[in-house]
Amino acid sequence: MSLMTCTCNTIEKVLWAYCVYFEKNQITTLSDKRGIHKVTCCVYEGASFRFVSAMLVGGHGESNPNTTWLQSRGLWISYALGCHFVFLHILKGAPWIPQDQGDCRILTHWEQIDYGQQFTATRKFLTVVPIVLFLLTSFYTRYATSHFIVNFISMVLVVLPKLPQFHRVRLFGINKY
Amino acid sequence: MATQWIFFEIFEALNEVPFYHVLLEVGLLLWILWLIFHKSYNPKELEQLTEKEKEQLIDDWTPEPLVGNVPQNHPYLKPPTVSGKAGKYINVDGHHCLNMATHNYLGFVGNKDIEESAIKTIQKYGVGSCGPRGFYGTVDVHLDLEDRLTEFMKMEEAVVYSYGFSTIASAIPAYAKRGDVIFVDENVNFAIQKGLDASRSRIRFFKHNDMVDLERLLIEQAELDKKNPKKAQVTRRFLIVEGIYMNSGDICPLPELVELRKKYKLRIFIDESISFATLGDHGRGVTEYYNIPKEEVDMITSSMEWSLATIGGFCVGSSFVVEHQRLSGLGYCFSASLPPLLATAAITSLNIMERDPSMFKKLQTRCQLVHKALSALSSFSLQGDPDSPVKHLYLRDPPNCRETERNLLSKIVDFCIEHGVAVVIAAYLQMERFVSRDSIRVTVNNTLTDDEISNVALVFEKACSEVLH
Repeated sequence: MSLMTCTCNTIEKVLWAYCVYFEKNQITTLSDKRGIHKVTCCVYEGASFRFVSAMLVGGHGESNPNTTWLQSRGLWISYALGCHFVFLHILKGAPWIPQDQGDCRILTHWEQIDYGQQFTATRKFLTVVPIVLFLLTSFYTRYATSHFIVNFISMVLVVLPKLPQFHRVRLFGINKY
Repeated sequence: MATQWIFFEIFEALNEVPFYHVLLEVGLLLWILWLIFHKSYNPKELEQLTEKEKEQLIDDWTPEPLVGNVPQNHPYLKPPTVSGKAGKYINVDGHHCLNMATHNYLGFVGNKDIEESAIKTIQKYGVGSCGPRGFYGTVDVHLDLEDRLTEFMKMEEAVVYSYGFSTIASAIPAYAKRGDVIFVDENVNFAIQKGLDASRSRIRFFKHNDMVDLERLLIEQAELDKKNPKKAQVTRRFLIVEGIYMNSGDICPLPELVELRKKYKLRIFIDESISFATLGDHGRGVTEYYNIPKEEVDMITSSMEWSLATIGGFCVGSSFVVEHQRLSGLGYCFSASLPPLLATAAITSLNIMERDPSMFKKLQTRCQLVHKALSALSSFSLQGDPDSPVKHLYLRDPPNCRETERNLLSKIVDFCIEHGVAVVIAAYLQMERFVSRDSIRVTVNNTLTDDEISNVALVFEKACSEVLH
């Protein structure tokens, strides 16, 4: 579990940097976003995330950024797809001792679903949701190019490993053992 | 007002769609639809047989008979029958014989103290423990036995299994998984072989007690590791040996094995089923025999069915290693625990052993005497260490055919039984790897007197002259 919390900390730092950058360049025309955007992408939040409290906050006018950072444009998809990607496609094996004599040690969670059977209902659902998220967020960010690039790349990054052609494929020897 | 404004926002947003984005969205939507309607398949099942091939296979199949053709004079059709206890003397097919066939190295079978303690335990706890260790099957005598074994072997923790065979067969797959490498001696017993199969690791057999062969295999593995260091980091390497090998009676060269362990980073598991309570000044096995500190060996397993004259087995080692088996040792978690009466019998045996450590020296003297007496036999060659209580006798001039050799040996054994010495032919299952030549297996126990040993040698000589000439 400690590996997972480490990676979560890094992801948080990256996402924080991203939302700070994009917040600065957007003109907020929708004043009350909270009424419209429902929390549609909390499906993937599995582990608890701990914020690194060493950095000083308050640069954007609110005393505690925790109240507003998740409202940032594009952050929902980045956050959801980020932790989706880590948990399904990077971390291998299982957090318990499996009774399969080490079969799943080299397999990511995605590859373990349904014992490697492709196009099952779970896999279809998990493939379709990032695409739908992408369509939604590109609509809500009004097709701005900068958002589009980041969202498109993260969507591709998350959907590509789900293709059956990529089952058990490891590119450039990353994550092989 | 808010609703109107939202619709206005949506309308505006839709107006600003870039062209490539529309294409992309349409493409994605089409792909989603295709995905939803695609049939699921298992990539492993892609090679399906056609109907014609299936019919062909069914036509080609001929059923095997349930019982194959067996010659009527096959020895297994007339198994020797034992009546009464198999202690110092054994009654085989009506002949009262000196027992050198069953494993009773310390002479505990029939010991009054052990039997009394077992009977008292039945009166207190009943017969069975009614459950596995994790589900109401742990009785205080189990914990006592584990503590006693820990103290006796001077280790940190012990785990007690309810069956000697499943001890080592569960311990190996608890640690070694797919993708690991295990180096094993060729002549290991069947329980270890089943443990190796269950582990699904890559097995490398080295020639019996041949350190040069083992080093060759280790160097090969080291070279593979150098070529692929990332894989090597996640590969665990094990070395599994027996203290005294049941199939040959030799003692493993533990000092050299420990050297190799340090050099090539292996994890050693020793199956001390025979060498526990047999070797060493206090009966602690090969580690005491060779004076090797306990940190050099990762885990010691043993069956309690030979020296301790009870049923079951145990694993001792550091807490870090052995504790893992409480959840991963399948024979521990998913089998009923040892009946309390057998656990108490083991505790009583340990008491006797600790009270009187001279019995180990006595056993070793007997073993050496038997070794001297049997190596002087003209028609047999003796295999086994002088200190080992298990010895194998092979015919010096074996006939070419295995069947004939077996028949000769069985006639010799029958002659011996008729003349008051019970011995057996070492039996192997068909599915064992590396089956060696048939041999007569002689076991030594510490109740043998000098006269009896010389008598045994005489009987063997007579048997040979009768049967072979």
